[in-house]
Amino acid sequence: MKAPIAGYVRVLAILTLLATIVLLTLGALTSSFRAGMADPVWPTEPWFLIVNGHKYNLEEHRGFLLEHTHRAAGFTVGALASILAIAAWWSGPKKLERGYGLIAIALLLAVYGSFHREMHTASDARAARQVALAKGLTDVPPPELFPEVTGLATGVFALCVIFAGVLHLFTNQPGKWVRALCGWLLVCVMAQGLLGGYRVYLDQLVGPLLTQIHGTFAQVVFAALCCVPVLAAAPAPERQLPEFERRRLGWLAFALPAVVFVQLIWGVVVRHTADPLAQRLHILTAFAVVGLGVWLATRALSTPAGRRVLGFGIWHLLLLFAAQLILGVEAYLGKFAAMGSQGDVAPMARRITEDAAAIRSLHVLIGTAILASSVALAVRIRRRQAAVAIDEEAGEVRMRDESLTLTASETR
Amino acid sequence: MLKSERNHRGGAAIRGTGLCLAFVLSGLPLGCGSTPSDGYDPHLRYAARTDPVVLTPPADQPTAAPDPLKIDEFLAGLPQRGAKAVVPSDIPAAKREQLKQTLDALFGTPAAPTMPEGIAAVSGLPLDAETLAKGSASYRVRCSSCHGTTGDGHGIGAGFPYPRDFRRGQFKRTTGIAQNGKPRVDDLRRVIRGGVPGTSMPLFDLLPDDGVDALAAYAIHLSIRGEAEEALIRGLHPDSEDDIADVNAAARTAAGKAHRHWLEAQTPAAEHSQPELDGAALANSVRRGHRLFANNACLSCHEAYGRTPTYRYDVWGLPNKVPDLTQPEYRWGREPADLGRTLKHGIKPANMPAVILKDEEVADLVNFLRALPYPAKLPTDLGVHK
Repeated sequence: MKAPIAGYVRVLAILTLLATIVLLTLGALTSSFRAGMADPVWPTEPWFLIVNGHKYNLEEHRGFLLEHTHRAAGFTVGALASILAIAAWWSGPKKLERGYGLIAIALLLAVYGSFHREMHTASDARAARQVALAKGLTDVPPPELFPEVTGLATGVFALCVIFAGVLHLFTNQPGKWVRALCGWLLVCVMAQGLLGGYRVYLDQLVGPLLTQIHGTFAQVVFAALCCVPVLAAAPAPERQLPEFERRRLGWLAFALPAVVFVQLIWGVVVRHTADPLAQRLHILTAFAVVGLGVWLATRALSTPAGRRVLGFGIWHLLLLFAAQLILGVEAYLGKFAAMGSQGDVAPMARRITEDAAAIRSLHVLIGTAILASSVALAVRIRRRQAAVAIDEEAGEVRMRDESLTLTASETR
Repeated sequence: MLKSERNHRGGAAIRGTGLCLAFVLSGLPLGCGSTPSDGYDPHLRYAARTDPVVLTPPADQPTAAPDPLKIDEFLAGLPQRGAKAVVPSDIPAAKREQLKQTLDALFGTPAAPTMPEGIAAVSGLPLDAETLAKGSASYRVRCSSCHGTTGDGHGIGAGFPYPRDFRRGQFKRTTGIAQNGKPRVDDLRRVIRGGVPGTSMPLFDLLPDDGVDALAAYAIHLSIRGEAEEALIRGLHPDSEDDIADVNAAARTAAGKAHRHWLEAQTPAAEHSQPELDGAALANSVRRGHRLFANNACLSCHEAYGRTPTYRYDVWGLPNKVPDLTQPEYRWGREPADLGRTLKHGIKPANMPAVILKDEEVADLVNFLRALPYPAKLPTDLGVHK
């Protein structure tokens, strides 16, 4: 039995995943404490906290430190995602295909670096303009909001990386999905970093809109990242679902993450705006999620093969549902029910306690985990036996075309 | 079970689910009611003030600033620490409700803010309902998370240095001649457009002029409302010597007084003029400035030129960190005109006094302060950076 891709790729994917959990936790806390604009300057250097951290103490500058730690974690995840993408493509068996993927990634990284440097220049120009405005000089033109040349080049090379992944899927190489996914993830992580930065840079123009997109896209990136270790794992034949079982669970497996994602979008809107429709839809779609989840669980656990292959994943998901319902109720009560002086204040403007921030952040994180788990479950259910085939003559499992599917009789 | 029977049952289940969904979704508009997603809830009223009105801060100096999330608790504890303060909850409930209703009648709600009759503009900046509503909607998105819905500066996203509490009617950047703590409208515009460097106050340099003006108008609205509320709290308190018989009239009087102060503050003060010096003349000026700094008790607050973290109570009763003058970033500007103005007029809300010096002495102090962050610009015999 052999994994479809080199083992170090899986290790790197798990490392990136762990770093992303830290990043998401810090992001959730930053939002809960409303510290997204604690430092209105963006971009800053990755080592900003190392150089300047001593100037700030936790008591007075919690929001600032939290937001900058979130930025530092973002840089770490960005670096890990870059290494992961390079490692995944490096592990490709054919030189030509390895080559175009790696070249596209290298060019993207180089151009993105230039883009980031130009944003630094724009930020310095903005600081100079701030001094000029403070002096009452209003004729200093605002700096470029988006460096057009490097921005466009970054977009083009991001498309190249995406296209390289798509092209790679047409080959018969084992681990092609992991390789393509790692390239796409790198693009997504970069886009997510930019969304986070522009959320600060353009706050005065777009308000909480970019915050919501940043918060939603984080869920997508994390869910996709969770699929990498699943797809990079060695596919044990005894852990594969028979074809008829896959078909039976098929549409439910995809419907669940779709509905969870819709529910998360309403959750993000509830978190960042006072939208009354989102407040209702977030709860209503929660019923749909639980209904679908329970439906999938009863179907999956009703057969021995389902119990054997999906048992852990399903019970894990149900446990997350239970925790999330409790946290959701607490988060809603904490946000919308208030007594005393806070009762007169609009829910979005109420002061937040550390306990309430912890509950809301945990609610966000469990929501992310539910999406990621349901996506990973769908991938496991829909994943074909592809990566391995049983060579009966040799009596061993060997790599074969990923598009192949084993039938129920073969697995027996 | 026959296939056709199964299909029939499946169809009924789908129709049933569809009906249930349609029923639930049709109820959504009713539940959402008239609450707009891009502004304040029309039913929302300004919250009544609950934190004490600090008249005199405690005699002892603070040693640290409280966590921004715990400003309310800190302020509530000030009377126990020896501060002279008026606590709103001491006022009988009926009078508190009367106070709130009066303020609502005069100043409207966050969704529809108004000004009392007779208060129409400040220095050409209209304070009409339309401008205030525009400013309020913009304020909710851009400012309320730090400055709070009532402008108390205790917003959910408040950091340190604490956001400005507009309710006292006291501001730090003022260039008017009146020196009553009120800024000129131009000062407000500058702070909104340029932010405050080194703090969480961002710049809003990309907003159109009318957007900046609407925010400035709404800040004035919150400030006048806050001052009227404060005056009523002080007057209605059981220990007060005032006997307010007509709450409405008292609120109008307080608002009128605050408005008059805003109008008086609009005349610009004379700019500080700084002679340009270089070489030995500049070095001598810096030396004289250094002596003046030491002899005018500046070091009593700016200990080690501000390098030693020192806190002093400000007019709001909160600890204010004395700035480190050896750092090149000054919140209210490093230009000679800015520094000269700050020295001549002080920063009243932070209890920084105005220096009583001749113009040429102020110029020497300005030269010293401008050189202070840069060891190479300071004469070596001063020993400031040792």
